[in-house]
Amino acid sequence: MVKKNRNVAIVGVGQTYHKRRRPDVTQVELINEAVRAALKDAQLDIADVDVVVHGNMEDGGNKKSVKRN
Amino acid sequence: MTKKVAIVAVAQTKYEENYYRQSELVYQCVEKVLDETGLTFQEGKGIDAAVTASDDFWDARTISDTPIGDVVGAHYRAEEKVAQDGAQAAFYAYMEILSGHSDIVLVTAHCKESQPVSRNIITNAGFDPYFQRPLGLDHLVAAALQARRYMHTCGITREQCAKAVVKSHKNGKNNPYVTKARNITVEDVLNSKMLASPISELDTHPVTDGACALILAEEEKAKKITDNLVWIKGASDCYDAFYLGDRDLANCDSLVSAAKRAYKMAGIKNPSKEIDVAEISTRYSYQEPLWTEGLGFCDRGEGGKLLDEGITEMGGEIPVNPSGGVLVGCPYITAGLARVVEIALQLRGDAGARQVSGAKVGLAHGTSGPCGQLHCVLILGK
Repeated sequence: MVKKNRNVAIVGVGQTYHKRRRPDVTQVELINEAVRAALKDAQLDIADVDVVVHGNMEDGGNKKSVKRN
Repeated sequence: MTKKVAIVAVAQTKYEENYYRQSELVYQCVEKVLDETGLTFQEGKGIDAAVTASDDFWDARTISDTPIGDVVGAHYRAEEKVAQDGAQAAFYAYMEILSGHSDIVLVTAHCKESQPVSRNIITNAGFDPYFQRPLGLDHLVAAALQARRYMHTCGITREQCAKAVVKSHKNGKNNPYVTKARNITVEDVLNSKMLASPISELDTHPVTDGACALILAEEEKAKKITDNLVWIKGASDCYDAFYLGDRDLANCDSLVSAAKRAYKMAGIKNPSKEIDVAEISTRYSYQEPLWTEGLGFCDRGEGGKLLDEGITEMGGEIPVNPSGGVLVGCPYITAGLARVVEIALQLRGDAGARQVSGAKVGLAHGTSGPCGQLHCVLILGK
């Protein structure tokens, strides 16, 4: 049975410029574009973020995640 | 107040090369945990959700959880895949129950290391495709770089690392799920075939296939299932940088951070005194001294001493890997969840010939990525 423990809000969103091909960026740079937009939207810094959840289709591990402090 | 979550059942296969399909391996474990608990997949009367650990590269197919949906009751139910070590799947399921989303969650992990010609082909694919894959970097070569850096920085010797292998084989002979344990000496390890200096064949984990499973439940429902409960007291994970050059490989900062959070959650102030038994994921022998330092079982650079002085042996102050651990064979993905299974058996008093008598608090550890990029630490207690 689903019991809600506490409320959760979306405080920032970001997306990349969508285009059929983006030869101007790598996968990592593409992610970075969305991340920067979301942080800006939320008026937060990456250091304010506790956890990153990253969904992908086998990107060959070519990603960088934040370290938890 | 945070609710309590317990492990109510565990199961594992033998760790050996075999011809079972992935789904068959998982089924063998799921059947055991369902029989043990009497739970079913009938809606509202048993399993609320499943978290499965598998990997597309190891299973040689995309969306590697699709063939095991049938055996984890995923039809008309929540099923989520963790494409990492199985300990992370247990952590994820734990959070799912803490959040109030589910009450009873089935967790599985499987991997067949025997399928590729070499495991290095698979782990090479984990590196970035443009710069590092063409160099031939794989987990073994990366581990050799880390072993050298750590041994040089902390004065750890190959002999000390070899002692971890000898201990694993000695302990593994008491574990009916282990098939690769042998009578070996430190000299045997030092003289075995060199794979990537300083890592020899016996310094690394033998090829095996296998799966394991467990069921987590929130307190009220757990108490109705069994009296012999093992509680999750604390858990955490931490990532380090992806590119090896962005880290100092002599250290394991992400393990230190993950352990610190897990200890805080479990109220553990002095791990070497308060933890009775530990199962840690060591794919290469140097990782036992390095990870035990990271976990705070000893001071920095003292990991070799733990082995020299027998502190981590059976009968020592803090036995590490009474099951034999990964160094006697436990495949990728499965390894971390198998460590959780082993600690649950220890705390239940069901570990047979490998039992650490009177164990009340245990630590299970899993890792993924090259040179311990991700670490996950779970503290279990009676």
